[in-house]
Amino acid sequence: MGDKNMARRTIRWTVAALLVILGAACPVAGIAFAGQTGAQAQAAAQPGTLTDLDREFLTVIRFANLWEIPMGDLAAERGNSQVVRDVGAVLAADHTKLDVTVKQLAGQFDVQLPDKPTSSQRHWMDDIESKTGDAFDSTFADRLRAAHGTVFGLVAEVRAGTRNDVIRGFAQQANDIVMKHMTLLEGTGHVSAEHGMFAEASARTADYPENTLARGDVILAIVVALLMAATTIGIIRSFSAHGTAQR
Amino acid sequence: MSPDLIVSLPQHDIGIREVAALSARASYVLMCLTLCWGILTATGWVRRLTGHQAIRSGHMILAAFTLATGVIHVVVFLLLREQSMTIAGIIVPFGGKFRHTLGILGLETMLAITVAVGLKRFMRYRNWLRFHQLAYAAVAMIVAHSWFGAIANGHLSVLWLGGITVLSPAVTLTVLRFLPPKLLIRAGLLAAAPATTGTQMAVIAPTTGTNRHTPERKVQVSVDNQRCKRYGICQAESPGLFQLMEDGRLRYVRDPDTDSRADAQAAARSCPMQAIQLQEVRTR
Repeated sequence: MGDKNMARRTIRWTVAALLVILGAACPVAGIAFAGQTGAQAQAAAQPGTLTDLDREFLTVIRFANLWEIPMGDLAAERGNSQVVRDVGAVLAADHTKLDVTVKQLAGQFDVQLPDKPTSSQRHWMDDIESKTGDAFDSTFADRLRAAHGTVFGLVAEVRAGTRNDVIRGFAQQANDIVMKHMTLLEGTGHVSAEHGMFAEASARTADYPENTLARGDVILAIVVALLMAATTIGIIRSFSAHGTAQR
Repeated sequence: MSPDLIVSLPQHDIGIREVAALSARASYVLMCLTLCWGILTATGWVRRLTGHQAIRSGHMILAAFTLATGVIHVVVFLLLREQSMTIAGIIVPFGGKFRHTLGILGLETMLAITVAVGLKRFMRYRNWLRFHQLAYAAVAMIVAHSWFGAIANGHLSVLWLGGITVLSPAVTLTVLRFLPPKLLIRAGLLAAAPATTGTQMAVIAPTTGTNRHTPERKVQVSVDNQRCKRYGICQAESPGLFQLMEDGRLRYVRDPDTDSRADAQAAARSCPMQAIQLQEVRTR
């Protein structure tokens, strides 16, 4: 009788400990997930290596090239006014130059660069391509001015704060080019003050790459869900006011 | 943070959106725990571990933090420089997208439930309890809102596992809560109890319908299950109306007919916890 009680008490305390750990771990895990980005940025690297912001900078420049080179070419060809055709040619040429440097730096610092534009960039490209005449000019100028506006902040941050000499040089070059492009695009007279300054964040769909779940993820989630359900039931069994474990 | 979001927004907004995401995740976790603690309060299932009082306080603390983090999540959308929302946009549920409707409705229901907790003494216990149980619907709405939000921000694969982990106990407890206790007893989850513990209440259908058409004043019975201590005195006083079940629940007739009116009053008078409330209703 005494032994049995002892064994039950041990089980009960083990379950209690599990409950406390789970209760404490869940919020911590959630916050840790959210804090991940910050923690990585905190780990500022020594000179000679790249911080996360430096890597992000190279990635963002590459993303900009991926859609602005074809759009510049398109504007040089299909632009309604001479100004837009000229601006398109300049943009395509500058971004082609930036693309050579960014690829070389990525090889030097071992950064994985994207090879396709993002879904929102594809959306903007489709939007510009679907327009003709004067509407083409204003959509082109508006969209590209907005994209440059958002990149400008990041480029300036890297130029001001990077500890890597090579990256600083490239950031300075990029800073000059982005500034020049913003001025040129505004000079076309087609940039509206209302929506031409920053690109909008568009909602992702379920088939977006960061939303896709591998089969392993699904199986793991099912296992974890079942485990948590079993733990919950176990806790109730052991601790309900007149649970079976008592007798 | 996906590169897509980085190229689309000023740095200030990226920071604000990170706060929005962080507060949303904290609120989601706390909400799932609040639901668990709430069900445990109502059923007394883990009472032997911590005692009723501790579970109840835990439920209230978790609920307060859920609301605090949830309100922060909503208010930071006013601080965005691009695509910011107006005050009407964060208060009126039907202005934006479907997932915004779910989120705003869910949070506002929860706020109303919190206010009702403070007004408990002005409401009939039964009505208060039904209103409080709207929280199940509110939680369901917020859970849907959270998953749609994670997809819209491209965070599904990051949050997938954590989200499922905290959701699972909440869903399990909710399912158990709505299963008939007899089934739980048969499954060995709860043992048939001596009639002194347990907290659930149930209502027996009126035994007879003979007096239904006579225009008379009737009483309606409602029992506060936070006061009721299962002494069983009401059953001794009027066994036709009150019955302590083998699983520890008290069953009672909600609409006693006029013949039983005196019995109901006797039971209410005799209850040492004054947990039985009677209300006069006029029948047509």
